[in-house]
Amino acid sequence: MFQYFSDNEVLIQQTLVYVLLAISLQVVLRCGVVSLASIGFYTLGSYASAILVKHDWPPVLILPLVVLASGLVGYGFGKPLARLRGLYLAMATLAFDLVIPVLLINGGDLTGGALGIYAIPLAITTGSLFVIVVVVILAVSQIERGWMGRASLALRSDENLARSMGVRVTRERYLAFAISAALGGLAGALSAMLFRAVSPGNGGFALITLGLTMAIVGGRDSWVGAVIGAYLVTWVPEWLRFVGPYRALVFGLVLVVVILFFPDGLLGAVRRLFARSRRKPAPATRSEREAVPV
Amino acid sequence: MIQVIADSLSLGSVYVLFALGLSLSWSVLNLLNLAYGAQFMLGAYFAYVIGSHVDWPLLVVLPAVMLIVAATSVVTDVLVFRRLRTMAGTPVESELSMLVASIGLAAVAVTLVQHQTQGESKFVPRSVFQVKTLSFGDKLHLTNMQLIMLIVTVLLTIALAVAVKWTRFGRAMRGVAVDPATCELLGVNSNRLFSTTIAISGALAGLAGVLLAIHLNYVDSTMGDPLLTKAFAIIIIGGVGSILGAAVGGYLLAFAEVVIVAYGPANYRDAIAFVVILVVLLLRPSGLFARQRWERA
Amino acid sequence: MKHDTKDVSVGRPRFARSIGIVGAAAAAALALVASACSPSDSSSNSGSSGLSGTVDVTSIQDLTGAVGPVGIATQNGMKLAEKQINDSGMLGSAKLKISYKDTQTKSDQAASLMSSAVSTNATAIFGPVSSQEAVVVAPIGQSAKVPTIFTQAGSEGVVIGDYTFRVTSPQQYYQPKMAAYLKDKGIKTVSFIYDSTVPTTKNLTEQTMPPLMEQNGITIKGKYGFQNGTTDYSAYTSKVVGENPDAVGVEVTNPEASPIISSLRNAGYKGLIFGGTSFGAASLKAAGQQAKGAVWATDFDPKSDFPKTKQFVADYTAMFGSAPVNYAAEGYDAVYLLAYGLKNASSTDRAKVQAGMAQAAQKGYDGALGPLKFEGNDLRQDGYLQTYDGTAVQPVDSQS
Repeated sequence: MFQYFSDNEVLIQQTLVYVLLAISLQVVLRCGVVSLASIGFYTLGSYASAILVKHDWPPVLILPLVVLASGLVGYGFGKPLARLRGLYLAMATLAFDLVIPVLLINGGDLTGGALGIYAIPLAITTGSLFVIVVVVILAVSQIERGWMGRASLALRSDENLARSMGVRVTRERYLAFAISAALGGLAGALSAMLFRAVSPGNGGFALITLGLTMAIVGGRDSWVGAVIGAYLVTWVPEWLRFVGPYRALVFGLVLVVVILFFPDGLLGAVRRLFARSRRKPAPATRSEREAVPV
Repeated sequence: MIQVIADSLSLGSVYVLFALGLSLSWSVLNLLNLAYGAQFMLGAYFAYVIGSHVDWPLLVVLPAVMLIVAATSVVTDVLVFRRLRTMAGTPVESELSMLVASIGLAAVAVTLVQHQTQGESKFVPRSVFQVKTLSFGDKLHLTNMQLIMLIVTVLLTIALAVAVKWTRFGRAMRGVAVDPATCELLGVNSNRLFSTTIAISGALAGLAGVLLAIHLNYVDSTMGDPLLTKAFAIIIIGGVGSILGAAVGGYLLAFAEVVIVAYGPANYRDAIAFVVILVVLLLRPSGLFARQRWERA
Repeated sequence: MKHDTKDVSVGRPRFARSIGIVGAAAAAALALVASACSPSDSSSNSGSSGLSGTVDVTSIQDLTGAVGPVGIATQNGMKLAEKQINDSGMLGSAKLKISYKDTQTKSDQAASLMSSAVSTNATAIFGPVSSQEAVVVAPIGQSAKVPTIFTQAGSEGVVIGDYTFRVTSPQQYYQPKMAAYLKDKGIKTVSFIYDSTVPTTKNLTEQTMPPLMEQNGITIKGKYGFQNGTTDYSAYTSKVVGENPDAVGVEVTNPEASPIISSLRNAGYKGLIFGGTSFGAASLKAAGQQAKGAVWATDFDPKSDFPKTKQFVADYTAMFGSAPVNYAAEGYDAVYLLAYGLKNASSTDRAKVQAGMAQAAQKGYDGALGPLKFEGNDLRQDGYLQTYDGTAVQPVDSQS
């Protein structure tokens, strides 16, 4: 059992980091905010952490710093992006995510250019990583169970309705941005400490696809979905090694199938199977939508 | 300087030609189709495949490829997008699921082509079209394909803009994007309209794929991705909903990029597109040319 | 039987080490039980002298993704070498067994595979061709004291210690020949177009070339870097053509070679075009006649008369049905470095194999790439000049 643990330690670490990334996307998607910005913060966080670790800063200083900085910037983004909806917001955050690698490649000695930063001393243990992830999950669940949870459900269905119910829409959006950014930055910072190298290629479109896959395939509605998504994304390539070059194809198909037949993700499918009573109302069908006066 | 202008027009045509189909699907259907880059790539790929097996000239290969790619659009719409539209609770849900599904579809297409080509890059054989350079003195060099692209782009832009704004079909398309329920009541079959529009978008992707593959002398499974981000940039600059806006935006962006290479720090050329997206979205989200400012809930 | 696993200290702090100790005890117990139960002979990994049984080796390579074609070619060369070594009985009764893995051109996959590999009883590990992954993999191999052999991966941070080897000369060592050739042809001015996002081409253009050009009396008119993923190069090529240099250096990756050459010719450039190892029969095919006369320096000349090279080309073509490229030759020679190391060490003990390989490198040996000389653990070659005649690659009359 320990043999398995140490042989697969890198994969386990990968899964844990990805859980954080998936949650960072879920937090905004649950509010109906289509922001992909946490990916960009992941890349920034990983570089910040890489640079600081190489300057002998301890993780106990680096991590809170990255979380705070990402959260503040995320909150700051909230204001100008607040007016954007749906695809426009997705676009803007996509652009943000894609411009960062370009800037990093041109960062000269500070960012290591195209090669990135490598030979970063190992700064954190798998055990600490696990603890951090657990803490984050607890924190996020608490926030969601409370006022923000109800607010985000309302936000997702109908913003105007939510506003009329007294939900402070704008503040919720800023908070969602902030938390998403903070978690993205944290995940990135941890990844640098564990995998000990960062390069501009780590971010960008591939990571966006990965993040969305995790958040959606697992199930958008709860951190359990994030864990499922992260686990699948990390381990299925191992199982599918025989599939070889067709891996991306299988992933793409899975994504399409899940979106088509399990809109609540695998977690939602499992829940439906057990037909437990759920807080979330079933997605409105077309006739229901038409019945509500617009 | 004249070469700079020529290069801007050429590069701008590359961008705009690529972006037209995407602009159509985004502005008319609210579909941010991230599989568009893959469809473009399929256009290039099929031109290579056909050209390698038969001696057909461009005038035959082009419509054939456009038909093939348009067919892929229709198939994915009927099988995937239509279902997602029906299932979604809110417009945002619908857009998000179609966005994610398009990412998955793109991965399928790209991997298939990657496997077929063994990851190597290919090119469209000269039997389809022979690129020739036209030199005007010492200062200006242009190829025949660059001219063709410019002309095709301008003509298509005008045709599309006119069609969307003034024909009944165009009005129906725009109506369906805003309020499909009412359109249905008025007798418009929104599903069929969606499929038709997305087929046109696919055909445009295929067209761009063939012409660009010849111009660049390059066919590769990943060739769609970098262009996709440029397309986003120019659609946003021009304003979603305005085909003309996207065209103007495209030539402007191309000009900026060519100038920065010709006179400035060339390394930052790619950053321009992204920065432009961000700045425009933050300051003037409706773009430079959008006639209506949507505030969509 | 001792398992290496927990003795590997990758600098893990106390917590993990304590788990490690417990794990080691459990693993040792399991291993004892397993060896008692299964009578079949598995590979020997303790310093028993004399080679016998199977020598397990792992190859972690980029088989899919952006540099897939390079990785696959390398792997083909390795497979040929593996077969020949086993067939010839070079290792006595021992058989070399390489287990081939795919990194998907992803650093985290490479890291994961490497970490797994060092904890098995693999005697040596072959690393990925991509520099970005190599710099992640090298420290793992070095600190685990597993002989790790790279090909390609020409950046810094790869050959970092006595356990890391590279059987591809960094490109900068071919450039003096290239520069001398340019001087010979009366070239006085040069401009560069290069991929600034790939470490090898970037360093080549920005660090290696300027002093070499200066030494040979050639002025650099301009250096234009573009990002990987640029589709239309007209802006760059027009600028270069406007400067009208005697020669244009195109330092890029394989898929970019033809589009840029076509773009240069379409923009009206009529002068000499030269490049790096990304030029070759496959990558120049699209440009065709437009690439006629292009010159580049590479580490492999398939038409060379060197006996080992000729034999390699014949054997490779027989096994795979097509002619080998330089990556295959590199993979082939890399496996032979290991084989010589094993023979010298006469053991599969990692430390002894490392010493054996270092010895082989110091002595040098004849490989598919030609007569091989090493500087420490890193190969040095002065390269071969090749040119394209519009349809095929020809050597430029050069000695060596």
